[in-house]
Amino acid sequence: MTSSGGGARWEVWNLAVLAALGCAFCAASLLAYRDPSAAAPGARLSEAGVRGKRSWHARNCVACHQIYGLGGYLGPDLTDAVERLGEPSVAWVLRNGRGGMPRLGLPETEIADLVVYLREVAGTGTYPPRSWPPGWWSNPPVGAPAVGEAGP
Amino acid sequence: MSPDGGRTIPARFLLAAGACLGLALASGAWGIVLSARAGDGTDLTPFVRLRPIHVTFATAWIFLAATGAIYGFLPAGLAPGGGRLARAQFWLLVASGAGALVSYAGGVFSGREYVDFPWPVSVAVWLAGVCFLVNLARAAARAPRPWPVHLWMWLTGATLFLYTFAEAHAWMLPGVFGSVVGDLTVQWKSYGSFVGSWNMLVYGTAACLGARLRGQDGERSGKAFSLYWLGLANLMFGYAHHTYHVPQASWIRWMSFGMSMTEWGILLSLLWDWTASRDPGRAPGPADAIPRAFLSAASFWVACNLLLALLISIPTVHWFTHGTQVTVAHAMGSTVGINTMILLAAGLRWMLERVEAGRSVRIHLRAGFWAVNVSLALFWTALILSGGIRGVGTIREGWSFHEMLDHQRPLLRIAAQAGGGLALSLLVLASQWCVLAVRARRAAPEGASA
Repeated sequence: MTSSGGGARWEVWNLAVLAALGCAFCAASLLAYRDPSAAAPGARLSEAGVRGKRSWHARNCVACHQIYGLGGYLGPDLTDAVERLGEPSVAWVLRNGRGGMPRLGLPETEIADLVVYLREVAGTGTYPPRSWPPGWWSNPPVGAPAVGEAGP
Repeated sequence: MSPDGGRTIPARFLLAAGACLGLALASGAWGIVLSARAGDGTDLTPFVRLRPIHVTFATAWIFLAATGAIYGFLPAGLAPGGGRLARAQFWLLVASGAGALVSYAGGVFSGREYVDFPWPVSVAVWLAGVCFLVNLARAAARAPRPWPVHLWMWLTGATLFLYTFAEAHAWMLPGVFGSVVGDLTVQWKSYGSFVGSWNMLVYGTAACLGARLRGQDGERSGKAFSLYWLGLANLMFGYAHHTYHVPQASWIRWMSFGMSMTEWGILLSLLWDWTASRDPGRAPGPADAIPRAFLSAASFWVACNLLLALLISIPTVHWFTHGTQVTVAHAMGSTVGINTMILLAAGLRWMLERVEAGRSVRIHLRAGFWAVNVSLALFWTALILSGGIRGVGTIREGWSFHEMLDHQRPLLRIAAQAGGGLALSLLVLASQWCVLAVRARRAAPEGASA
């Protein structure tokens, strides 16, 4: 078997690049974890919102639905469902089902918590973007002054 | 190859990978049929279980096949005691797969998109990852220096898997769980890098296999290491191209956009390699033709999916492709067209070095190869077109969800039929894979690895 290239020379460079990338990765990760928009008042859930999010997880809603376009495709994105449809309509669908979504038999307290969770999600931003022509970032960071949808 | 299970251990992982692929295909085929019937009143409840089954076992196929190939191609075999560690890794993964399946069947989910099993299963998976990294590190210490690029990629992938998989569970911390934006930011930071970690394992395997097909023991050129560094940087910093719309800090989005655009260099390098003549190295052996075909297919799909990924990483394009079937096309095109093709090439090469395929197996492999690629091309194209309709229709025309489904339905039906063909052809390949893995496990002890 033969080898190709000047491996010994590249090994030194490799260690140097890996060390640099590793340090940068650690720094960027720490900064991402401490993103102020994550801790901004509009981004944090209330107690009822936390309970609603636990229900969202337990029922595996993400299999069919999306938040900010992240999730399954069988049902609509629910980021601003409460703003578009209103809380009574969202509660009605959770209670009775609609289309391919069956009646889940949820208790009223769980329905109320899920509605609160979706209301608080809607308070963080808008999705999908509904402006034309397309812009760059559709939502500013939570807590930052709004700069409009046409640019960063 | 180490006398400590040198034949058995790779075959064990490859066989388990084939079984996981079968499960992923069955659940995926059923899921795509339901997708095509969304909006016509069909009860979509089964999808709540089908999607996590498909995602979990498709990921398991990638990890198990990559592990089997890596154990099979280790230059100096496993260190003493490595066989025990590999068996521990194997049984931890079997237990975690069974645990995931039981929890999904029972309706117990974590509710997280790609790691939908409960946390005890995650612990088993993470511990299996520790076994793998320790085994790799000890095997690498025995390998001749300087190390080829694929050994660096495997070690990097195994190390970053442990970190990113743990990071994917940060939602369990109250401070993260209670923040809508913080949770999404960290979740997709971890998922983006998690996918990158398994790509390191798979692309490292491709680099190793490519060198072996040329009669070399590894690639050590400046170009190979430069591409490795570029891929690693994208793994670490390119994750937020999944979350441009999430109202997170702008520097995260700019960092990921800039990093993602550096992959134009990878695409140009690939296109240059296609046009430049390369020294084929030694004459192809009897075990080379099939792996070469799958590697060539992977190369084609790398170009297609890399171009798609680069386009949808531009925020103005991402504006209306995000959250549509364009994303599904990218995910499926990469998972099947790139990762699966490379793993089929590597796994089959290892098996064909040890057993003769026979006429029937070769015919099935050839038929499956062409059927997969034709089906995937149709599937991929139909998904991109339907996703484009969804994106433009929702944003520009203001369609409701049901209006959008009505416009998409013809293309989703085509995608469902192509997806069915894709699943069937992959099942043909998976069945031959399992047959060869069983034969390879029973074959007479081999000599030193080529």
